[in-house]
Amino acid sequence: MSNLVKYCVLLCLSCILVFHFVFVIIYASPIKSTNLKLIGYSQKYVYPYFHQSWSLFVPTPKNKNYILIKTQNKSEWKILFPINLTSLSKANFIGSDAISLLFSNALIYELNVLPQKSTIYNLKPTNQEFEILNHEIYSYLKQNNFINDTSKYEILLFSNTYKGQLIYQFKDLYSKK
Amino acid sequence: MSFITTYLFESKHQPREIKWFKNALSLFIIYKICVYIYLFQELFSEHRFIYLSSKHVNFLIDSAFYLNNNYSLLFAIVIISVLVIFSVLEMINKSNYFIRFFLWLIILNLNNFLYPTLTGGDYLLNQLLLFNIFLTNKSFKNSIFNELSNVIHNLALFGIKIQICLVYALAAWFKMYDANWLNGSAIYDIFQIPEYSNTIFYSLPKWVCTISTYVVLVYQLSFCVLVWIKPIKKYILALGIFQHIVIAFGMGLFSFGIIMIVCYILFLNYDYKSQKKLA
Repeated sequence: MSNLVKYCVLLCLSCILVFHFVFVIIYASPIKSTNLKLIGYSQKYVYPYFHQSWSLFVPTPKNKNYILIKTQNKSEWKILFPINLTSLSKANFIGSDAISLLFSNALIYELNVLPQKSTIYNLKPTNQEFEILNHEIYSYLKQNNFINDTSKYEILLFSNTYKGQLIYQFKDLYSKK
Repeated sequence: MSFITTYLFESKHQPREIKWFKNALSLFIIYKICVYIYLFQELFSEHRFIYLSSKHVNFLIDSAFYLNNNYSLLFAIVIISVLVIFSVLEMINKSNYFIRFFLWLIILNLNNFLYPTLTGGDYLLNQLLLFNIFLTNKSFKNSIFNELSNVIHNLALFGIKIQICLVYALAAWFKMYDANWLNGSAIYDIFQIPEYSNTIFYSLPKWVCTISTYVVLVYQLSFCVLVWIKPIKKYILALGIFQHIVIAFGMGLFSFGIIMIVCYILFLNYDYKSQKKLA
């Protein structure tokens, strides 16, 4: 290969590398530029193939959140999330972090759309966030044979924030979707 | 300029580190497969916890969501089986560009399917596998192909290192906007959350957590500069390994902690040292 060809190849490849990282930085950086066109292009380029998010623990999680469940034939509430501390730390390497994150993320998304006061819901909410959380809880109950196809169950979401405690109760949830 | 072309076109750099990195990456994928199998009921079965959402935009985007759009139990089993074969081939150095490309695409599809369970480690794995497509220690008989594969290999290697520096730089950038990280209370707050803590971390004194917060912040801010300075690199990497072991085994983010340690292999320079000795 002649030197001129090498220079051209190197220039092309370097441009691709620079272009890639510039768009990744625009996409993943905390400062969202006022140039909406540029953000739009970066989102089109980066997502889904190069998607990444590095806000690691920003904002700092502060709320202690719990999911409790009660099935039709039981009188006491059972803690579903967080998974027992000791067993979690022992079982990280076999993927308990994945299951923990699954419930944790769905719970946070649902808490974000709930009102800032404790509420009892007699009807099943129709928002997407609840649908996802309910799907996860229903699948957990079903897999562990806590419910059958016709039984009812209840969910209690408990959030301990710096402002105080918030409790949300969802009654009369049916197994049949 | 000719020095740069000679440096990039003549040979593939860090062959020993690349071999270790590829082995570690393949082992990590095999570990992920073991987790998928262990949690098969929760993640892939009929009553899986994962909420299935499909995405139909265009062919290019849909390819990253092929598993979501065409989900069936059999298809999931086939994909995981192919992943096993491809990662073993990659580990025993029998892979080619085609296999490595599909390795990346399969992991991307699995990650998009398992989206709510992902950590930073999974995002990073996607990016490492993308650059890994172009990393090879094999030589071609045709000199033009060989020079082309050399330059692509060397730039991909540089790309991975930039990506790792970017992880730290962006993570630090985000933290500079967060009051809890700036006033030193972030790690204490995180350790009070049961999901990211254990009995030891939960009871750590506040001053230990404050020092740790600032150490993490300074480390992330300075990593992309200090890791290129040879005399202090080993100390930087040692501190990083310690941090990521704590993240993996203490905070419970196992995948993230381990994949970051795997990345450090590429910052070693054994080949450079051995070449120097030979010279």
